[in-house]
Amino acid sequence: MQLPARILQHRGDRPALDLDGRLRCYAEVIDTAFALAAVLDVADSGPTGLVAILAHKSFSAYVAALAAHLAGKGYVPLNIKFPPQRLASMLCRSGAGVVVVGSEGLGVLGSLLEAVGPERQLTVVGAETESFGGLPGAHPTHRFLSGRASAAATLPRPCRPDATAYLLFTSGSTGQPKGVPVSFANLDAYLSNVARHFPLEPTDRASQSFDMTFDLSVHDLFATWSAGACLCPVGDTTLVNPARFIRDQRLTAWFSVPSVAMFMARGRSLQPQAFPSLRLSLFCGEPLPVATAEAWCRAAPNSRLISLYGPTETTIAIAQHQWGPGNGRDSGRNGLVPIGRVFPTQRYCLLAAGRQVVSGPGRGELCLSGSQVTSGYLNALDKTSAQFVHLPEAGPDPWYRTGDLVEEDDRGVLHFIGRIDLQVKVNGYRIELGEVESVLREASGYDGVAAVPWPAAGGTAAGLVAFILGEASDDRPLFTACRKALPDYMVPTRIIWTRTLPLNANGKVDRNALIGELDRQQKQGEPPHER
Amino acid sequence: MSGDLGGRLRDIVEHFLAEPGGHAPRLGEEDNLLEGGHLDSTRFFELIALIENELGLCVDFFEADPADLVSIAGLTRHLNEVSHDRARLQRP
Repeated sequence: MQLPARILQHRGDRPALDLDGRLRCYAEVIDTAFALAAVLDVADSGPTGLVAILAHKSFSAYVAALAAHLAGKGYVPLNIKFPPQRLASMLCRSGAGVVVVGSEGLGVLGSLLEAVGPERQLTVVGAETESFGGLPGAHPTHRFLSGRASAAATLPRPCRPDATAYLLFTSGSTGQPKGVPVSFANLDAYLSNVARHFPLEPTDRASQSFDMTFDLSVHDLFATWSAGACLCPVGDTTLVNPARFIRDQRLTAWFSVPSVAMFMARGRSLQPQAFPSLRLSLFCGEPLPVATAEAWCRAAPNSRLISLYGPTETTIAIAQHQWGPGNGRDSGRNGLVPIGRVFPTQRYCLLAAGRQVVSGPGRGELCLSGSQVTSGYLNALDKTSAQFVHLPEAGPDPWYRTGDLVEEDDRGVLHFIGRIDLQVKVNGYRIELGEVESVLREASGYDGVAAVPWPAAGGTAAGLVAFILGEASDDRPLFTACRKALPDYMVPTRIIWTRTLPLNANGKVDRNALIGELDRQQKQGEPPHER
Repeated sequence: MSGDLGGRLRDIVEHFLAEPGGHAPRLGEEDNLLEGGHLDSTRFFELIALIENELGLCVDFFEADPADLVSIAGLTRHLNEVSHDRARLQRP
């Protein structure tokens, strides 16, 4: 069954969304989505047929995603917390001709349209509003429409399996985010694996913790609604420590990055039996420390705890490991819960140096293939051919190189060892250090720039520290430049001016030495200083 | 107690948020420290640890909604409750 049909079968009085104390039933969600889809159906969606969504954890945001699919189109989420220049770049590169705006996105819409400029003609659709203030007058080249129309008889439009269901941008090493189009076939393959391995039930109340620009939000929305369950969005501030939210909302399914659980442990909220209502707890986006998993199991004793693994390019998650009694509690390595096993419908291999495929237990770069693996990056053949490769030894299909160094044990369980390139995870967000360095290089005028994840533990980091090789000067303009160009999680927490940058044997900046220096300073209680 | 605690709390928060060698930000009583871009979640917990250390009081995350703890006014209200609860428990 195709994705929109999976959801439409639940049309009725059961709750689909519990947002800010207001319950919305499936009939209301679906009827509103059809009305919006009717507008999207006739609007010029631009060369790629994608619909941009400028909204955040709102009724409009969720309905817009469903409406795009009902109109047979994919969506590209625009995060209202991102700088306007970045949003404009994402919008223009996506080729989307329509922007659906929630009321929470109206505040940044003007800046976005300014950044896009008048040359590009857009159709702006207010998901729940017909009033755009002075924007239509200030931007006369764009069309402004209400999202309420009578549903056309032709809806829902069929979704071509190879068409884009959603387009996300991941951090790019050259300073330009990479677009990852995920097809309806990819998404259907993932949802089938969810239904097979950790299904939700119509009685479930599932968290919605991720921003829509994070692909794990796609799981929240479509896994929940495909099952006829109720979606319960978690406010950004509440997400810092959602213990009371989980209890008050009687959530039965939780999904977040492990950092949230680690924050809850720091806030002394993972008390035994704290969350008896939870029956399913999922973590993804970064390695899950064993100590956090154990604390969570004590706090949610009635819940299965499943750690998921998957780059955006392989559609949300492609491997899983259930942590708990009788299932490999002894299997953690380096203090981390294993990646586990790749879904049986997908394929994996490990690639050692010299592109040798490792057979049996061993260590190498994890490569993935199968119906969940996407076909490449948006308008970036060079990046696609570098990352999606042919490995005749492993099979005829393209293989996605994850950049993750992985070890397979003699039971066939995969363990995360580290990154083989410069991608790092900060609080669950995947970051190319090169993108941060590129902004700092331009803003400082110095070429010698190196960003490192720090403090780091268990394969993830709490922030970034940037080193600049040059004469110390006021770093406030550099922070300002970063905040203008990058999302918050990519802005360094500290900038250190230095007279030398350590190099490794290959003549490249030795980031491990920089991290070691930060660790040393912290251990000795020294304040951060110039090197 | 409330006014005194609020003043001490404001000092701690503004000192924590001050840029090195720079000025402390002017914060409104109800300004949201997280959504206002003053802190991310990591630094938020660093701030809470500092407050607990300086004031000798423990923030009760298990019962409180973090949304009530992200402003100077909210933190003051919560820590006043914690302080009163502790005083009541210590009373013979």
